[in-house]
Amino acid sequence: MENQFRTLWLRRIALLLILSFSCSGLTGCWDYDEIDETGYVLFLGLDRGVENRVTLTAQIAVPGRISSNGGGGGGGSDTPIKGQAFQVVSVEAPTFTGAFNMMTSFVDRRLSLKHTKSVIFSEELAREGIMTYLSVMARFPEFRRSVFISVTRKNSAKEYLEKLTPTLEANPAKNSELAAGAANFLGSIPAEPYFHYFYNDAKSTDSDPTCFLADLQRLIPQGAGPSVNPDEWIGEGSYYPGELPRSGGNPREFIGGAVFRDDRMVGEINGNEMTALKLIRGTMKTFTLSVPDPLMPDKMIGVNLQIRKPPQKQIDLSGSVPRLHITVYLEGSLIGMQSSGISYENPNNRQLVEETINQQLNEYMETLVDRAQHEFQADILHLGKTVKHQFRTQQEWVAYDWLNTRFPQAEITVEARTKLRRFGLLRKNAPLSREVSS
Amino acid sequence: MLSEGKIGPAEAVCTASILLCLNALVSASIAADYGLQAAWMVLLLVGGLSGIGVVILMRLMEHYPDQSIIEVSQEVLGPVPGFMIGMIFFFFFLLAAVLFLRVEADRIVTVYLPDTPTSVLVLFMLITGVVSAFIGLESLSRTLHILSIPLIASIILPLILAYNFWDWNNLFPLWGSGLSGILKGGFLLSGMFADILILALIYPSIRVNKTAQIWSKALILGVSTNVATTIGVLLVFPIPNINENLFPVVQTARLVFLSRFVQRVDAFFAFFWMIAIMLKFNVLFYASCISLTRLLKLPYYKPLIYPLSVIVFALAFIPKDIIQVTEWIALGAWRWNGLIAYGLPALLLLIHHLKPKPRSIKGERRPTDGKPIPDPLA
Repeated sequence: MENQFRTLWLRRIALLLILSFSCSGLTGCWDYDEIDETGYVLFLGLDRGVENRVTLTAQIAVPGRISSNGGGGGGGSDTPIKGQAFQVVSVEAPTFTGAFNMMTSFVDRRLSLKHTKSVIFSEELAREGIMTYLSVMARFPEFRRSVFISVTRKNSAKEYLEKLTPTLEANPAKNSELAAGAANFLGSIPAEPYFHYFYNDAKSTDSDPTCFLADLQRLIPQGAGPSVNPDEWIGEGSYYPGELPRSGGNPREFIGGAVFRDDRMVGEINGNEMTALKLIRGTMKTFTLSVPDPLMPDKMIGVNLQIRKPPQKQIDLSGSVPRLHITVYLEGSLIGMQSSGISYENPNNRQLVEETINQQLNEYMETLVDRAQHEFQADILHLGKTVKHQFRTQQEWVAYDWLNTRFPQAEITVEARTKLRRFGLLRKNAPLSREVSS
Repeated sequence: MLSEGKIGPAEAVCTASILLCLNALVSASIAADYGLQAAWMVLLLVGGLSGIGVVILMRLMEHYPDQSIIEVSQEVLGPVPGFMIGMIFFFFFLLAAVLFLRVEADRIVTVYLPDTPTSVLVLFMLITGVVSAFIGLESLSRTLHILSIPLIASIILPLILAYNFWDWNNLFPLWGSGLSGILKGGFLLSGMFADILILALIYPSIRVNKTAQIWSKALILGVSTNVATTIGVLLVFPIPNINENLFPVVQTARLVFLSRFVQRVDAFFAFFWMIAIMLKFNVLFYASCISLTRLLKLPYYKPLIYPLSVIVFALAFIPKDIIQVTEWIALGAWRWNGLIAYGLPALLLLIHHLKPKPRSIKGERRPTDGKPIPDPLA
């Protein structure tokens, strides 16, 4: 009895010792990560260096200011939020990792990439090839593949990050997520701007990557650029970043995309072509489009369109060159028209608008296909992803040499089929009183 | 006679299947080296080949319901050859524990605890192994019985949550590297599910219903988890990106972004992965202890726990780095373990059938002679 009692107590003491010993490990002697001792890098910028090989610019969060600004203050104002929620530092170094180490030596905290949201490359660096840097990031455990990749057009990544001034959203991470999330309702920015897709496409045998194309607001004030006649118009997607005739808001602009062949930037596409790209890839969700009024060409009609079903791709590889026909199915609603007295709710008139929409989208898609095949020679349309279904094995597919030989030679035709199903809150468009009498 | 306690069929299934299911953390990347887009077919073939091996193993064990594979080998082959074969089985479990301990310690260091020395993690994992070995099979298998569903779900669920990164085109060309590549991969990875040998080791402890269902359920659960994981990872990582990925499941979990509020879920799943890793190591370490005890015909296994833990700790540092230990697992263990887990039992079964059977007085064949086996070391 006494022995049993002693054994029981010995076991309890042993268990207590083991637990105590284990708890010492839980305190994290090596990998403890105090928030107030860490500098979280939100944006990274990479440029070709002057005094060394590469310039690394980091936008580091100042958490106290994010929380104080993010609590509902500042909303609705066009003035920059007082007390920036981030600090921008820059250094020139031989490598990305070297620059990161050097940077840690002059900021107050140990830098971490765990919360990095976006990496911005200058166009100069992007045209040289960025896999050197991407492969480092792919290896780096702190770095997540859900980071956004962008290229700045004219300004360096350093200038771009230094001049970023959030207006409505103080939290830079949320700001970045909101900008990328706009792809759900804007046709003119890429739908999949993640590092994950960029890296995969750059290395795969069936596609080439695209990413955000960004720049700072142009220096020419709004209204000082080339003027248009009253009957002329420029589509909202015809611009590139840094060209929008605007004032106020965040100085950065996203529109269109940077086009890459493997890891080298070979060109850029505007907002309309990005719309076409998303339609062909099948990554479009919803977007608005302005088209000329078919019955009054000097007036405009605004429509909101959604993908009705995934794009259909008919493939014929029997000839000397591959032949592809892509059909894009859309449906949408008429949300605005400048003319009055014409009822586009009427089935005959409605068909005219649908044909006009189709014509305009076909034009965008044909322009993009032509540029992708002949100017960029890069399958940014991701047609290879569908064409490879025709092959049984990877060896056969690789031997087909889609990216280098077949894609530039392919005969690609496109077709948009739109159905207008909703017309906003109006049942018909009554004319103005004097229009009736005349 | 060693007494390890008794466990039920469900507990036995969970104990064996967790060993197979955890291969899914890395099997997609390794199988893709052989099958490319058809990596999942490679794993199906491995599952089929393992099924044949398991049938052989099961048939052998049915003849000796109260003995483990260690005692069966001595009974079939005689004391000395049987002892040698038993020693192979012991080294099978010991090296499995060593390699698993090292590779998982290195993986945790790489992804989550970069500043922690590998030796510290190895030591802590070993402590859990020692504690669970002391607690014994009953507690270990019951823990696995309770936790197996959440642990397996923690491997599959992140792949489902990453559905907005799925691209079905990644599965094409459907036949990947072609039939030859799939067959080559299937045969060269045939030992991937060889850990199911644990059932043959704990066979005497399984309480009732030692039917084919235990073997088949454990294997089907293991194979289907690995196949589902491979398809899930392939949907996210195309060729060649899946091949270069050392942690495909972890990387997929790190991608999960359902909204601003549902992201970075890998930290949540990592908790379950750690538990699963610990439990698999605990089972393998326990199996090493038990196999050595049975080999040496000792009445207790607990005195062997400390010496074996020191040996495991020392052996865990033989591989130079994570790449080498991963290659030892993928190119060594998964290639040759099939010969030990299925080949040797096939040989034992063949000899069992060829050996003249002692007959009872009434002339009926006896299922097993049940006599104590002479100790070769005596």
